[in-house]
Amino acid sequence: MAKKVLAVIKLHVPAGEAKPGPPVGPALGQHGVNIMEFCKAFNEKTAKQMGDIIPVELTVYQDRSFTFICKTPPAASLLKKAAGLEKGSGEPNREKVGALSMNQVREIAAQKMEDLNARDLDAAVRIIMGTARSMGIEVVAEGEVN
Amino acid sequence: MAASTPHESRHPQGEHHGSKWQQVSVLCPPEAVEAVSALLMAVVPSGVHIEQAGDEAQVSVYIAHHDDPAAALARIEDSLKRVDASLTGGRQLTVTTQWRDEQQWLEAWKKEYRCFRVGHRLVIKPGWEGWPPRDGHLVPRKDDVLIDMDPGLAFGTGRHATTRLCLEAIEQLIRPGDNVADIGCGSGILSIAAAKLGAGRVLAVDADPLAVEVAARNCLRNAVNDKVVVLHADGLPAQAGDFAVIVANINASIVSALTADIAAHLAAGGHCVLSGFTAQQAGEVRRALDAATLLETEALEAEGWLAIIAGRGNGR
Repeated sequence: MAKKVLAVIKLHVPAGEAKPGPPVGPALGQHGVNIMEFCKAFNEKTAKQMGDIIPVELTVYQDRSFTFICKTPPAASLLKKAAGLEKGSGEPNREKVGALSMNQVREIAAQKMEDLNARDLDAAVRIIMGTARSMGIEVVAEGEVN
Repeated sequence: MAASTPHESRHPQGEHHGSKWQQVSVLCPPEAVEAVSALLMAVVPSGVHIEQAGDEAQVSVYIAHHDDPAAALARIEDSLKRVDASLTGGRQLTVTTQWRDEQQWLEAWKKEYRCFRVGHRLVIKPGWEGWPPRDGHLVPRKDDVLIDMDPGLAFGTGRHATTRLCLEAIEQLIRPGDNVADIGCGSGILSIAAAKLGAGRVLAVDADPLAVEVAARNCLRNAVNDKVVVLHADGLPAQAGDFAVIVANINASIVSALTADIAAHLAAGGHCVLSGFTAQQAGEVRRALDAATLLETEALEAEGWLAIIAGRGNGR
């Protein structure tokens, strides 16, 4: 018999670096999940991706057991990578920091479509374009990307 | 040895009050979640919590009280201006703040952590539950070996598959008077089990000073502090001597790196228990065991996790 789902928890956490503190602690603790058990399992699973940010989705069951899946990298990480920008944190600059072609945007949109809950590819493309602009990445016509 | 020195500087309000965090939440349309998350993580890299209900999403970060939440909030509000209007429909994003006490979420899961059995005789009892349990959810048996745990923030509540497998392996391997080593002891649960199952002397080491503190406290709580020595160390000290049983429940890469050291400290006829990795990652550990000329004698598996028992070839 399928176990009854109590909650679904979504987090973006650095690979291999989940700690019992926030945001993991408060997000899991309120549902009675063993925080350290998740941290250990997540860090083990993502150890090889150190430096990346991992969107993770936990399903918590009524008996407080849980499963989790790691999703494709956040849109921001994919955009930075495609634009050849340094990964990792750092406050985004005010100015334009990079440029991408419409094709590159469409590729990322297709890759993230499921996670974005977008109705269709066009909706996903709009979200990815808006996310790019929010990060100082311009979307330009083909051929203008250096 | 000052293993139980409390971390006064880290917990200024004492151990019964957790540290305070400011939760900063941004209410936004679901389309803006990716952009808002990225901008928030540029200010607070520890991660974001995303909640979504219908057409409204909330992205939250937490700033420790000693990390100047006011300054971080100002940076967050400033960077949120960058969220493209196409994602927000031109709407102003709402930012709310709330103080949260660490105790809140740590207490929440304690309610779910209750006495349970492992292996043939072991019973793990959380410090906050009585024995026998008042509601009778577990009935005591004559030869129960009770382990009283307050895992705090260190690993090893006994519930995780790897901890259970290691406890089963220890129960099977330990003979009266054995010298035992526990590398990456966490909460100290495996060392305490070893001592209570008849080990003569137990050396517990952990690279995390917080784990050392919690382990020492748990040894005292179980009255095995005369048998168990807890040390803050990365691995076994060179002069530690020989052990009949060495257990390392950490992860694939660390236990693999430890195999040579383990082989050097394993008494003739002794066994090691390696765990903390999944069945898929076992190849790396098995190669390391081979390189250290340790022979696998048994592999225990639960929920996809593995514990490998290995010896020096001339088993007991």
